Amino acid sequence: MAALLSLTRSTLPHQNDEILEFIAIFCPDEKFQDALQNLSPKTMQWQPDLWVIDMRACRAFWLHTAGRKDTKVNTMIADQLTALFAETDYYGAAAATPWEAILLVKAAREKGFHGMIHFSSRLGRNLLRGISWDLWWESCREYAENNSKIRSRNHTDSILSKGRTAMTLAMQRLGCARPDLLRTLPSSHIRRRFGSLIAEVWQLSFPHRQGLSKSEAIALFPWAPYLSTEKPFVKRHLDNELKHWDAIEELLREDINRLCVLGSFKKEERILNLEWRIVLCNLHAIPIYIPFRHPHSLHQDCPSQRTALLQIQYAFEKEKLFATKASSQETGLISWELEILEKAPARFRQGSLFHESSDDLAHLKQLENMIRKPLEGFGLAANWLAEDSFYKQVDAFETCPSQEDYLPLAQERPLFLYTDAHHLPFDQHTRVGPFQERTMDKWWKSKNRSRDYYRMTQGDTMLWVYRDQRGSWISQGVYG
Amino acid sequence: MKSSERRLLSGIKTLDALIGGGLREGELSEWGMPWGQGLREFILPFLSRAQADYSYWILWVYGRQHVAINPWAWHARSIDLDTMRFVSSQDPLQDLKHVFLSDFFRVIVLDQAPHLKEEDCQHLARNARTYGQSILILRPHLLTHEQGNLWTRTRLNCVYDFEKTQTRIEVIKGAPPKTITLSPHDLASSLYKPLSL
Repeated sequence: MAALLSLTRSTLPHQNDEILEFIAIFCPDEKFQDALQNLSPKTMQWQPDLWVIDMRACRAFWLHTAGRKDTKVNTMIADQLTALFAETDYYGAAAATPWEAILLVKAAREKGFHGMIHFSSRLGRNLLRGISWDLWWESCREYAENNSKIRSRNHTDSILSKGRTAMTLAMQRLGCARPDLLRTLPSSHIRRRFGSLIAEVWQLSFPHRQGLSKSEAIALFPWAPYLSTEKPFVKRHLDNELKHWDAIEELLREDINRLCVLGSFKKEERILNLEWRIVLCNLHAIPIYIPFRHPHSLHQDCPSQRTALLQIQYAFEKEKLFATKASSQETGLISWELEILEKAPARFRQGSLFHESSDDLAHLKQLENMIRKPLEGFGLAANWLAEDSFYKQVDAFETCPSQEDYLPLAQERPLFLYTDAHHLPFDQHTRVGPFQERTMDKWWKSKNRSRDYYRMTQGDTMLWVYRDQRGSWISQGVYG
Repeated sequence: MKSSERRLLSGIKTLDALIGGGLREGELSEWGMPWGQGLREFILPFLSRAQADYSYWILWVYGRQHVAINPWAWHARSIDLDTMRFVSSQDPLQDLKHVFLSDFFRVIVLDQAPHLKEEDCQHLARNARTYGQSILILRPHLLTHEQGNLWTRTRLNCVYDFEKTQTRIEVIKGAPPKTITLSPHDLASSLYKPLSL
């Protein structure tokens, strides 16, 4: 039986991606709850015993560590959880969206499947298909609770129970035993008959079927970050009004260094988000959020605090520009409060979570934290269409296996693509050059079936264009 | 070999000879390269060799709007994408100030930075010398003797001949005036074997 179960949990190639998206995990014991933040600093307490972890925040770290140890990310995270829960069994689920992870972990617990279950595994899919109405309604209730807390919506119990009664009756009449049987039912129908709250949950439960993209499903989910009750902060009241950055910078440096000596901010912790709440002469308070691209150590940057000050300066200048546009008069600052909103803990077995070594990756991350614009790195994907043949790397060592078969094609393709492929108007200066390649289009996404690529010259510009089946010329790239 | 004596080579013998044996580290070079003629391909051999020979990290800053990178094409031209970064910026000195104050990226290509003035080149030249960077400035127009640039060691013009499908490269500063003609075959033969993944 165990062998049979392990077969159903067999790892598919894309399951690495899921474990680095969202994990839902039952953690009834309070003593383990803080330790969950070692997987990622972005967590949410969905229910007192159910936690959702946004693994995207630490994707680079896990990929890098797995690469260095020459092991799989899945295995590493499973090891961490096994060590955390010691000898007790745990229920966990990984999925591309938080809601799918929640549904899956609930289904797994109901059926008694321990360990980490992936959404795309056969077991995961089967569990989700078999979710009962009772479990779905229970999740709906939790959704309503969290939604009303976070978005201040008045979804009272009565609204939900009214919709539930009506929908339960309708499902009984239809003989529909499980939500999955009606997954293609458009959410607009649900909204009209049973209300917007149930329609939202319906959309989140079957995002693919409801035409919801992954990012839309994540955005729709009522996420409330778990914040430690102790948020380190420092306050400063100025003797006189300050307008210029040079004067502000010196005092801010002092304040950041003051943060470092607070008992609530440990030496090993890295910051992800700062809030600098400034108060102007007219007593108008403006919160300025300073996100860091990579977890940053204030202690290591002490006393210069160059990185943090640079990011604060960028945010301040942007805010100042906005404020100056809004009002003609420039006002100075009279006080401020500097607070660490989000930090990455370093507890448990993972003291090395962000212990940067002197390798290239650490230097690159440090550099990226100091500049205004994010750098782009790319990885290759095995896809024949140029626009789908790559992904943005979040880590220098993140690579995915690809096929060299695309090399002959790529050698003829241009270095640059247009961000929006556009129709090419012909004029007297346009000359169609040599034929390059014929490629199948993704007919399940577009009406076109094939593309014939040519090198085309328009004036003094060499373009990479294709002719679709209707004979239209589309310019997709340019030979820089 | 000392870092200061290092030169970036393209592997195209005639081109390397034209620029006096390669691009010296810690210096600026300026390239007149009209956009859209496939001329940027002549820069890539320098980059792929810098990655392969010296394990350098490379930054390509592009100021052209509405275009994006096609990574497979770069990979097919022997660029190691793991140690290459791109950034879209019209004002690299402001947006990427700290990149120029660090020796992390040893080769930086500024491709069509519209706001790059002569005083900026002075600043870049100083930093390049300090941090051993090779900075290649690609202009979308041809360079002239009349509009000089004190701070660049080497200046070249590249022109593509659509009729003969050849590229003419002319050196206008940094080496004796000379012009060479390169064919796509010369470029292809200079490439390292594409990296296996």
